[in-house]
Amino acid sequence: MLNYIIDRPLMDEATQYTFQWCKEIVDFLNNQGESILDLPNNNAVRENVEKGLKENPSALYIHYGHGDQDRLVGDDALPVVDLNNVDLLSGREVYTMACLSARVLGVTAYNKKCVAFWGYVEVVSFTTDALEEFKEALNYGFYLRFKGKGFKERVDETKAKMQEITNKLIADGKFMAASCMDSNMNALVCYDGGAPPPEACPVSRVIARLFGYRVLTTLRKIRDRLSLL
Amino acid sequence: MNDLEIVIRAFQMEAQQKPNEKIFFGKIGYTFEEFAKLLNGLKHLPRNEKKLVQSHLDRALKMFRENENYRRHMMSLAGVPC
Repeated sequence: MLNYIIDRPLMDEATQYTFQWCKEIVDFLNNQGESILDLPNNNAVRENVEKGLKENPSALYIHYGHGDQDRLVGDDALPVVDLNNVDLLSGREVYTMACLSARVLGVTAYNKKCVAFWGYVEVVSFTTDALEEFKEALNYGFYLRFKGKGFKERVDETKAKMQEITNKLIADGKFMAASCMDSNMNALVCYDGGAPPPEACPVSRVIARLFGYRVLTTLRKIRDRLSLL
Repeated sequence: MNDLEIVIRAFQMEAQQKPNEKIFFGKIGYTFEEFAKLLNGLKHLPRNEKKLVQSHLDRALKMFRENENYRRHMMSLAGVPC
């Protein structure tokens, strides 16, 4: 049995950076002697991720790459995990560094008895003049796991670290980076023992309750497309 | 200058200093120079780009109003007396 399933797509310029950030975690786990399934080099695709998750039902799942409200995206730009296979996240801890996925996928995973879903409810942003700082901030919560911290402590300490880094970026004159870091800090959530917050919009809340998140996500996509016309 | 104009001016000054650095919003990336140009023509941007840029500006504006340190540094870069 493996302890960690890691997918880190490398599909465009943005993922060139996130791929390397995740490599630091892979190296760390290898040095710790942990048993891992690492999926780099075009292997971060649905088939491989599903196989890894099915064969290792309690392994922690890590995704560093693109995401959307209802999905995590693989090397082929197709979902590796979405609302159709979210059951695979039940009973395991999930650590994601991806845009928006905590919004619907994270909530659904939590409702399907995922142990904890670490992720972001907004678009993750970063700048290339502060790559080390973004790597430190976005990986920080994972390393706290090895210091025996609970999920709430990890979120609180990670946000405190992000605030500390934001202040350093301001002092260094990196204002675009500082506002990206602040945005990421506010978007970070971890759904574990405590229930995710209900939808802020009352209409969304009713739709989610009556028809589920799949319908809500579809309606949101239609709305977003119409707003672009 | 109002707060938003100061934020935009400071970002544009930063972009002048580091034109080739990039800012990524998820999969979408701009050089600082490109981003500064987007700030110039915010009203005329296509909706999806406008939404992205506006969201970053809103966040920066909120920081500008709430974080004294950020405000002071941004005003200094924008050449506005504190």
